[in-house]
Amino acid sequence: MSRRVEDLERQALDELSRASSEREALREARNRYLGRKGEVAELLKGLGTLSPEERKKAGEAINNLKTRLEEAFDKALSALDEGEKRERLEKERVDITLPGKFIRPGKLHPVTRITDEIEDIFTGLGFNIAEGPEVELDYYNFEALNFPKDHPARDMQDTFFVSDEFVLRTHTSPVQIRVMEKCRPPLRVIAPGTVYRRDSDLTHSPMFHQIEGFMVDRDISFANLKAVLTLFLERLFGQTAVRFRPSFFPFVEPGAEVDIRCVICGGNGCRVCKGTGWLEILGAGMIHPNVFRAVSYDPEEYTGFAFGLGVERVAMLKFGIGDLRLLFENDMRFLEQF
Amino acid sequence: MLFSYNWLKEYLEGAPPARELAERLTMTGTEIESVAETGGGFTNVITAQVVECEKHPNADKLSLCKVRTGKEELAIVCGAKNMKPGDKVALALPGAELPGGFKIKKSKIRGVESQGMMCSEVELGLKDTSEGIMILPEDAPLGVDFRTILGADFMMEAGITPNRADLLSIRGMAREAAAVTQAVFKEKEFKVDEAGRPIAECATVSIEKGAPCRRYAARVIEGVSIGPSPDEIKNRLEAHGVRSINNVVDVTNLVLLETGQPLHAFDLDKLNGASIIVRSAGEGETIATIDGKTRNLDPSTLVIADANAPVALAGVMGGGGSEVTGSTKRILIESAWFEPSSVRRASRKHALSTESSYRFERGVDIEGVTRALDMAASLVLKLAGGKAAKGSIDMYPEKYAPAEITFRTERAARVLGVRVTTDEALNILSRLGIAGREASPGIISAMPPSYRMDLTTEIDLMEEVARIFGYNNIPTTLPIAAMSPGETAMATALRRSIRSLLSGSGFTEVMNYSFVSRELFAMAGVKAGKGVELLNPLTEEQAVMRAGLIPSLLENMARNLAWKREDLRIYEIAPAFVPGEGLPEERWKLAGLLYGNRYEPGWSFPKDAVDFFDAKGVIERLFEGLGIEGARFEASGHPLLHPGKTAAVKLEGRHAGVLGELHPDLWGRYGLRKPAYVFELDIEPVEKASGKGKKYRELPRFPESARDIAFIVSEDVPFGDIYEAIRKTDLKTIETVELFDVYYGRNIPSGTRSLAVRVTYRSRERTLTNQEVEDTHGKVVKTLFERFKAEVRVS
Repeated sequence: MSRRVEDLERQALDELSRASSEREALREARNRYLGRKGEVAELLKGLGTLSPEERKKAGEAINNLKTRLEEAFDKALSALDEGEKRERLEKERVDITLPGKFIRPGKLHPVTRITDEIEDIFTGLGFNIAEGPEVELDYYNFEALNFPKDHPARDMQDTFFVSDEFVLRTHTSPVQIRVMEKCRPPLRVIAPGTVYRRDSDLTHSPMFHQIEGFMVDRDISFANLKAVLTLFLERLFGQTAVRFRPSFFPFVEPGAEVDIRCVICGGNGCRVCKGTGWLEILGAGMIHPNVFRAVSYDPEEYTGFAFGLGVERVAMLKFGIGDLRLLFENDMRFLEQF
Repeated sequence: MLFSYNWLKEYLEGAPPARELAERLTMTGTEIESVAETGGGFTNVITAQVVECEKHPNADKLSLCKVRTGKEELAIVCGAKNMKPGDKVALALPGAELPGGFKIKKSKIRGVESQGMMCSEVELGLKDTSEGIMILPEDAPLGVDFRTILGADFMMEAGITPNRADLLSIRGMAREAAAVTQAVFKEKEFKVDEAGRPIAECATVSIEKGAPCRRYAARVIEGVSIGPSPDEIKNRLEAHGVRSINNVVDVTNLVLLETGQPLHAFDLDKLNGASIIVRSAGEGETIATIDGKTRNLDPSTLVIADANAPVALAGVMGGGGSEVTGSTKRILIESAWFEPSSVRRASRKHALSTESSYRFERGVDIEGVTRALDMAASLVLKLAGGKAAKGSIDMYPEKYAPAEITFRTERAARVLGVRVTTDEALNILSRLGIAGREASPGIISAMPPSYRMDLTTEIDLMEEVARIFGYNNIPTTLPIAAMSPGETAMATALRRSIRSLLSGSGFTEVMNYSFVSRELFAMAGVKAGKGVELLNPLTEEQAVMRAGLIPSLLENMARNLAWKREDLRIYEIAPAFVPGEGLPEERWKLAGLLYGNRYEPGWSFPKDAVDFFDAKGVIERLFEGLGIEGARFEASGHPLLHPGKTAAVKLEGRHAGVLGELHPDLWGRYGLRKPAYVFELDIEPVEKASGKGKKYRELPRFPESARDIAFIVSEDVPFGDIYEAIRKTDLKTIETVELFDVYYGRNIPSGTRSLAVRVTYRSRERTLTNQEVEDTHGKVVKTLFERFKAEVRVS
């Protein structure tokens, strides 16, 4: 009996090795040996003719044979599966260097990006955001801001007129007046917006954007102005030297212009800073008592500072844009870079 | 203002070097925008004298000169003809570098060695044209660096702010320089030799009552000879941008530049009645000004008149009839003070801004009127001869009275954030020529000089103290404030949300000018003449404030197509301007444009073009993102849009905007090959509808059951109606109705279309039985048939 078991095993393994690369042949062979009516089952049937001792021994041998053959066939089959899978996956290989697919998100205008950035710095300092109209009364744009009629200070800002009384606002400063007329101090406000000046060349656009800011309370000083603006400029441009120069704007006194170290040349002097090593970035000052009087604040009780900056200028410096006009040409090749 | 450092130094002792001075002025409020070194654009050029000149042995047009430098004699080959033995010249030695990087070397010219070059003014960068080489004055020393002869100078360009009229002169700038540096200001003295007859015999002056002229002074000089000015004066004027005319006119201009006091010289013989009358112009009077233009006058303009007619626009420009010419013998020099606003009005009215009007508008020193007059008279006597009349006229009825200003050191400390002591403040004020005294402890009483008309209140003095103290010496101290959150205006927050949602939909933001041409304005669908127009536009392209944004986006599309950008998704958020009762109404709008492929051209995206429903989808997605529900789209019309592909957008029953396909009639105008889609929404109703805030809706706990229906129905039945009808069949159990197919064509009768929808049934209370779902679905099918005559194919 044991010889028959050995013969059968040899025979089965031979057949397995011949059929190992063909799934059907393997299945057939497995069935022939291990199926319900297969050779192994036949062998088991033959056990009845044996003596109990022999039967036990032979039964064990046959069962062992069965286990071994099952393992061998299963292994061969799974090797076949594995191979086929490998082959299939190999066929599914893609050229991973082909470009990725995505729906391209749109871009924000660089002026919007900078405006958002500046708004976020100031709201972080507790400033509120306010707005005002772009077509503005002469009163708000000039007179209440201490620009008397027939005063040469008005020449500082070439004005578009809609009528004798109405102008396109030349700065966002009128929002100061509008806010102060409505609210009492303490006030911390910034006012971003579109402004207009009758000037158009390489470095002037008839329409541009400004952000006005002001803070009013009982004891706001020029030292406070310096601190807030230095903090702001360091947030906006990174650590940078800042200097304050006396200057004149009718609605502030003392008035100042604020420069930062040239971001292009680091202060060595270049075309952008006209060789000075400094870039003028802000106009600022202590709110003029006449402005407080125009909104019925007592200038003895309240003091405050105000400042304004041009958004396009900051955008040009931060993004390295050399030509102002690009900002309003709406060339997608330009806009998509931001 | 452009000014010469050397000229400034005539008024200063111990002036710092030019660049240091410029820095100091800038940091104290007088911004020096540029410093240009002049007369020094060359090296190694010395003075020399021509000893002899011969013809070049090998060239007819060249000379061979011997030139002496004091140390040696050199042989120079020269192409010019204008020199003769004895002439002093500027000689560039070998190794010299001339403007433009031109280097001088020893060289053989036609076989003869030249040991240098005699220079012309052009070669030295001194003038734009010259004839021959430069011949120096006879008294020029020999062998010295030519730059020292030329007097190398620095021209500084100062940005003078409108409050500092006192800096619009050399003398004023020198005064400021002395205040902000260690230099000492020294005055120049002028004496007028009054050798002529009494002035009362020569001319009379009167000022009309109420005329905006607070002082009028004049001198008369008889027997002048008009001629060119000496080079030194010509050069100085030219360097300051003033053309040299003749000796008398040049003197008035020179004194204007030096003192800031505008002057005018009249030909006295051309003044009728030898009289000057300062008065308002009469209605219908005219004047021919020296620029050759005839100007119509009215009583708003102050003029200087003689007995008959106006002879000058007061403070602005003189008249041609009385100007000083080559034949003038007797002159009257005017030095006056006119009201700034009066000069400004006249200057604007006649669109005439002059050196004179510029200064009067800002305010000249009323106390400096006669000093300038005397300086001019003494210079005229020197340059043009003649005899000055005895005495001068000085109509000055109401003398200048300085006002006292109180300065509180305590208050200054509060405003500046730094304590400046009374002594420090007094010291600073006195450096600025402000007379101050401590009236009581910590209180200064100060009197500004007459030339500082900008100083009238305490805050003006604080600025003076602060700027001389130095802004950079004021500490930086963060303010102490009650904590409060920085609040973003609702409008700002909404605009940010819209931008972010549209970015997600692939839209790029554009920014256009608010003013457009009338044509573009009209395209927005507003009747002509109903816009907010500019009185003084820069160009006709920017004449009127736009009433809608779509025309601008269409222009952007056309330009980008020209740049070969064929797929566009752009938007803009900006106000549209509508004339109102008072100020125009500013209606914020959002407009967008889609053109070209739905997906960007790639190697595997489908290449189909956007259609109406892409545009509609953008708005629907935007509304979803903003939490807006219940938007309705209704078939509508718009002059720019395809009549069959236009929808009005309604929010909460209000008109909120429009979307649609650009009218095919407009394809040609923009060079389109495919349809473009645009939309424009009013921000205000969007803002109203979006303020609801999001609320969680409980997740469903019971299973759903979906049924599909396909049916054929007339094309005229809008899907929106079908959708509503299905939903309303049973609002409780019909959860969603989704359209998943629209089919026209084969097997579908013309005039009809096949629609397929999936209806999802679900109850929020329990699991629906199959029978319940079938019953409701049966009602849906029935509704479709009964209401819309739909022929149900599959259900």
